[in-house]
Amino acid sequence: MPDNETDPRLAMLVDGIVRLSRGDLSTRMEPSAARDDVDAVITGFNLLAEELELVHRDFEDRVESRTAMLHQAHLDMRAMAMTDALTQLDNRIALLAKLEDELAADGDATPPALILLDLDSFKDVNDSFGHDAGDRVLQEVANRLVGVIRDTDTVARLGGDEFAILVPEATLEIALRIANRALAALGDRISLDELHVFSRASIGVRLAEPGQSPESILLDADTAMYVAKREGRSTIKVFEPVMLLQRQLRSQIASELRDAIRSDQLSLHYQPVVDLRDGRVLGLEALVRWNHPTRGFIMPDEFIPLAEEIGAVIELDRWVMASAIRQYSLWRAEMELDDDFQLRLNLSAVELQQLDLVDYVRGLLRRFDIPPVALVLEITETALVTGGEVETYSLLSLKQLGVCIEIDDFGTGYSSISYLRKLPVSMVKVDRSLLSELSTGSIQFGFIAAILQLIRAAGLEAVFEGIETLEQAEKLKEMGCVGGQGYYFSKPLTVEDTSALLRSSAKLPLAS
Amino acid sequence: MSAINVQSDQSGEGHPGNVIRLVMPKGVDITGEIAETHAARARSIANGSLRPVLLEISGVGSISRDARAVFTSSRTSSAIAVLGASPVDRVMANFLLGGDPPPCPTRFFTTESEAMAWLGSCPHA
Repeated sequence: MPDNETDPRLAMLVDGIVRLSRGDLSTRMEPSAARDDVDAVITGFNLLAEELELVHRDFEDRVESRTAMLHQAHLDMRAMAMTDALTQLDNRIALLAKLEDELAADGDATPPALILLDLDSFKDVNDSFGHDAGDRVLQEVANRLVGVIRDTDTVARLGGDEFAILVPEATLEIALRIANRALAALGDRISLDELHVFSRASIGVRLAEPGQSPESILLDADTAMYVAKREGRSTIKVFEPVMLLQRQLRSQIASELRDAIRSDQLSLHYQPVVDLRDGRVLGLEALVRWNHPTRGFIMPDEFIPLAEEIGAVIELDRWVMASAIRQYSLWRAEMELDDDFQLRLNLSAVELQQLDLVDYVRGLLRRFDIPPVALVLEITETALVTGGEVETYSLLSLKQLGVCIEIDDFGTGYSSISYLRKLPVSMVKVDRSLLSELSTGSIQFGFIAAILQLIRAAGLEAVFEGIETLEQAEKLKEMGCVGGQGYYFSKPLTVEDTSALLRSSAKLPLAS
Repeated sequence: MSAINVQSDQSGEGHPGNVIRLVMPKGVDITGEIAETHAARARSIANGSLRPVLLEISGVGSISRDARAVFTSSRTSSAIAVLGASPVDRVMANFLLGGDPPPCPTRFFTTESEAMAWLGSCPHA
């Protein structure tokens, strides 16, 4: 047995421990044939080193696999953040990033185009069939859009019912071709199980200009899309700079409109409704005007749709209701009006959805001591026909209150007479277009007589608006029509002129 | 490969019956493969019953991790007595026995008689 004092294996052991401590975990030593205590230590060293190496390798493997998992999780999260969960399309962030990449590409490259699509009347799908059905329609729309693009294009869902197609290296012709294909693809009915809907879209196209930011391109495409939506749905509009100006103007007017409602820039004019038999004033229709400090008089056709768009229509409607009813109470106090005299107010479709509408109307009538029967609320045919449960509740409650409900613009919607009978309405105002078509000769008095007969058969009374000539007034009178309204009798009047007219108890039309 | 020495030792007074003796070849590095060959033979002798095992490792070059795993995962042993001679054998035996908890009682001996006596006294042997 070697002497421990000089045993070279001890020096070897020291070397081995040094190597091991420096991190060389593969260090091993050969025990001697002696198999004595020193060899036992060497063997133990080898076995411990092996364990250490193994544990270390295991640890390294674990770190590597955890790092890989972390990296994958990062990639997954990134993908999730860039993907629309419902359709698996790119989302807005991903689209803007890709657009940015396209714009950053070689300056000589052809610029990209962005096509923005917003589904028409998609809210109706959700409202009528539920959000689950709505989601399935969106998925189908996504599939169809993916089917019309080139390999290099990207379809994204920006949110809600808004989609976009990024067309790299585009010309207007290429972009329009894809937009038209998208329009055609969405033109076919979507049938999912028992659900059949049309999900057409309004489309805005923007060909990028050098130096434009992705956000600016998106805004331009969006602006063009809104023009398409307003000018008639299922259309394609290519962005023009004037559209942006108009949009800015609209948004300025929109903010001014809110102020106008609060600061009494609005005023009411009143157009008489006349008894065709003797020219007696049966009532007044209140019509709102906006006297803009710099733009002058703005007509309701211009600002009411805007009020609807910006959600200010309730405020507007209530201003009109309160102001008109207050004025009406002043007239009632000042002069003797006929018992059947009625104030007529227009009510928007959105107003009909307000649960507090009936309370509001009841409160006003009480406050100004107006009998409910002296008030007529005019509601458009479309609002009545497309209304849901809340609208029906409002109508029934108003009727119960004793207020008269009148269908406005009758003949422009698509209600059948049998449907009209089911509605809690008592009057119909026949749209002016019917009389104007009469003057162009495209329809005959016989046709109007038939309509009048149908309205009466439904147990309703009819008022004709847009009467402009004596002949029209005479013919309607001959047919037994009682109520009429139009420039032949009187244009809408200011409060002062209306007061004078009522005070005089004059018959209309006034002798010129 | 060295000769495999696997036998069933049923002789000797005071020795427990049915001891399976596994003798690892001297001077050989015992790999998982060698260990498995021995273990397979032992299983064949045991024929489904639990038997005491005398594992002789005197003079082996080394015992790999895989080989250690084969011995310590045995499901046919009622007890394992590891028999060695030198301090090196003792260190190797303790690495062999010192890992995961073994499925049966295990112990290192330097004499066969002590090993056989222990196997005989083991309650499950």
